[in-house]
Amino acid sequence: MLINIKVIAAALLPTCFLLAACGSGGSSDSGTSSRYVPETVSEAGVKDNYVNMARAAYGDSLSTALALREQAIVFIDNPTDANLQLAQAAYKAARIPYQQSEIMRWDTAITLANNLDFDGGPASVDEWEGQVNAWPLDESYIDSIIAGEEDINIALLVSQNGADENEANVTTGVHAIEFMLWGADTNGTGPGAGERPASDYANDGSCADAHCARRALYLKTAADLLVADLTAMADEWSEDAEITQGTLAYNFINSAQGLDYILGSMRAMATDELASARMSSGLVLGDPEEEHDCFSDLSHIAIYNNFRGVQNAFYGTYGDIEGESLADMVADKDRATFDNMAAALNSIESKMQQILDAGERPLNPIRFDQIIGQAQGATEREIAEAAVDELLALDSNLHAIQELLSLVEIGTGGGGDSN
Amino acid sequence: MAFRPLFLPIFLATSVTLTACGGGGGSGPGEEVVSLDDTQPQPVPAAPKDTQQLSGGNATVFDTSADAFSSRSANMTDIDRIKQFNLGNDFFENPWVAGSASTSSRDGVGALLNNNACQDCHIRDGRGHAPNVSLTENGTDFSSILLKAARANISSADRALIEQSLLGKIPDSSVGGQLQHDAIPDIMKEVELSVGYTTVAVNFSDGTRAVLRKPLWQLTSNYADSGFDFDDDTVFSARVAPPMIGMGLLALIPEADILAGEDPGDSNGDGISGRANYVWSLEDQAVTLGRFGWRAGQSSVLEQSAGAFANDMGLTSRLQLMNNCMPHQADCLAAPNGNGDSVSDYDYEVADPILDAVAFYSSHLGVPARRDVNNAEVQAGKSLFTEAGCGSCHVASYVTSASTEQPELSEQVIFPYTDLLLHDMGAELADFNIDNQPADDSALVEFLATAREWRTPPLWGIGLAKTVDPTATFLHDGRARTILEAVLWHGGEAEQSRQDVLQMTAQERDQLLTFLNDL
Repeated sequence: MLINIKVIAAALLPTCFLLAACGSGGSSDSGTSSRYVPETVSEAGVKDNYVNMARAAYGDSLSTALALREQAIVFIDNPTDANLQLAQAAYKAARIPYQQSEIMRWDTAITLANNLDFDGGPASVDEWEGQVNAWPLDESYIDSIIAGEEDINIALLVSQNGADENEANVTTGVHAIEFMLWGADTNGTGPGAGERPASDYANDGSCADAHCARRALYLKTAADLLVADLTAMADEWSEDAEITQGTLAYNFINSAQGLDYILGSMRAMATDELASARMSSGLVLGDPEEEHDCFSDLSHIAIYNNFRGVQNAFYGTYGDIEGESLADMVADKDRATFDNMAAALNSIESKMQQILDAGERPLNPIRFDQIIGQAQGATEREIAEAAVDELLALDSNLHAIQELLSLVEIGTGGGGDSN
Repeated sequence: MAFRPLFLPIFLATSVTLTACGGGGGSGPGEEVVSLDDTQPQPVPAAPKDTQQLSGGNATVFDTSADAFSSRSANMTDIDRIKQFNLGNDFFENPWVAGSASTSSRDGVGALLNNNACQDCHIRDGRGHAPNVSLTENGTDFSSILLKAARANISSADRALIEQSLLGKIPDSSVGGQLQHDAIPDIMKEVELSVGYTTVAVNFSDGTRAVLRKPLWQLTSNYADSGFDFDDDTVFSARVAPPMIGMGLLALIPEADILAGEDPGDSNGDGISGRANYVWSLEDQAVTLGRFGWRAGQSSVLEQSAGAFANDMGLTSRLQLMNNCMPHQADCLAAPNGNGDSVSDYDYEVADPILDAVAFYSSHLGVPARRDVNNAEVQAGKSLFTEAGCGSCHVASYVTSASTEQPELSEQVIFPYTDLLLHDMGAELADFNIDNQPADDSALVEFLATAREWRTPPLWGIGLAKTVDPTATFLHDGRARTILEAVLWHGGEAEQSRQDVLQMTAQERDQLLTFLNDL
């Protein structure tokens, strides 16, 4: 199965380079103007296409994570400012496909009772993602491990992730790597992210605090684990997996609630996770560290691509993949419901694009933590607040679609006290 | 809310009847029911049976999935209020971090704590569970249950303060008023906890036997070696995290309607007394009626939230400025705090907007609709519930007060099945000493509540408890694995109801449970 993935990952490399390139300015296609319309649309067709999208999104997440690990190793071997920046750029590129894949996360309702870990792979995306993308992260816990004596290896990081039944003891995944590359952001709502010096990784005897070697080992180990985790998830969506019992792809294809899950995921991401926890909490509280990429100040990339994930799920698109979709089913049944949804998504898209553009401006960019600090009425804050309101209002579009297609509202609350 | 359903007057009339029934089955306190208008009592038109489907009035939600307890009031439409609810959800759901971290709005948890996320005890906004045991080992999963501690032998001066509701209790001198069984890194945990169970057989009159489990708590203070063991007279109280639904509606039950159910001297001779707990309100700085918590020890959702932040999570707030360390717990006292955030200074850990949002969230979790109100078996079970006198304490219905601040919850006909009063539930369910012996009935353990008294818990949503979390258990200490087991533990004032249930046929028991599972 691993061999398969490598082939797929290699095949997808051009796509992901394209996506990485787009990261600086966002993707160009708006999703609707020249939308692919299949001749027929069926539940099976929608699900098949969704599996293709998942395969591509996790494949891109894996290949960009491999690139991130490679740049991290280059930096560790030769800890210069230039190499640190290359590693940071690789982190940024990796956020693009992963944040789009995150729409897959709310899968407990279709996985929990099915004991999907019997094949040795992850039992659900929900269970798996805690090791990959958990937040908030208590950085002092990572520092205490680095300053400690225990051998730093994958087993230690896994055992310490969520240690003492504390999910904030995040020792693995994207945000741990982010902290290792940037350090804490002490700039408040002003411009600037974490400013970890390359000398934190000095290997020429000039290390200031005697922890540089362990820091390097930590960064490499966390990157190794991220690659291993994404490999395991990509395996769950491979072509072989589609016909192998116990995989997430097989389970999804054979689930009677496949479409309910797609719609439920859109609601969970758009109206709850993205609108509220990832955008509104910070905007309401005015605390600049209320952003999930708080060390790197790259939340504009993260939230833009979370929204892309919502669009992807509806239109059946990812990268250059397109196929039968929920949107086709809706358009088939009631054009007005489709038009309303498309208009709502387009309007949000334009606002998310402006947030992305503000963060990526070459001169005086406005990052999301600066938007959090802006006064009421400031341009970017108004755009962000409008995006939040429209994301919340998407709930009524989603309910209309749910009724139109006779779908069932599924539980999206996660796995309970063990997650 | 400008929109007012046309059928509200019918609801109102119905609920008057129900309140009257609940107060004492029509004889006794029921006569004191507050009349909603000055006209003479007149025959009340029978309400359509399915009005009772809406347990939470117009705030009722229609979700029967594992998320059934996690939706906002269905009639909440204002986008700013939805944002406030979601902000509260964010901070209810996500873990808090030890101080002082980059995520400065979410730091400062501990140093001593029971858990670091609200949601981890109130699993999917539902109830927690008692630890399970294996064949060979005691249970040690205290992730959604905690123990409180109060002294029994106290001075008459302290007793007088408690009787005036100026003081809740005298805490244990080793660990304080609550046993925090967890701590942030490098801080000593104050206790080690485990539990085993003995079995208790109960026979129904038809020969059927139920086997219940009775907890035997094993509690050790880690400060014993340094001269601070538990006090000899400390009374312990095990509390599972209760479900979060409908709290704002309970807050709006008119005080007079609650007090109308009181019968401290059992003047109507039905064996059921019922007393209000009066507590010191930190918010109002006054003695107020207690409504929330297993012993009605909190007067408002806001104070309950601040209390849980302080005691369960070690997070200070504007209402709870003191950390939960004892004077002899030097490492706890020296631990970093999470005061303020990256843009503002304040002398506590939970910022005001976050405390307010969590309280708002907790007030607005919708109660799920009943699924099968008109089913014949459900109806039969409801009759049995009434005949066995269960409704004397589990009072079915109220109309909430008018509230401009909480328009979704204002003037709603609700069916919580509680009187929010304290009742003696017998020695078996009483708080206990270190040797698991029931505490003396005279001890006041939480304001006016004795070691045997518990607030009638609402029953709404109970039928979905295990849908929301399959590991959920029942009663204050989670000993009951099923709803029937919980019924069979009822003693004290509920002894006669329990006897009535023991006399039921298998079919009647099924009907009773079918009704309870429909709530």
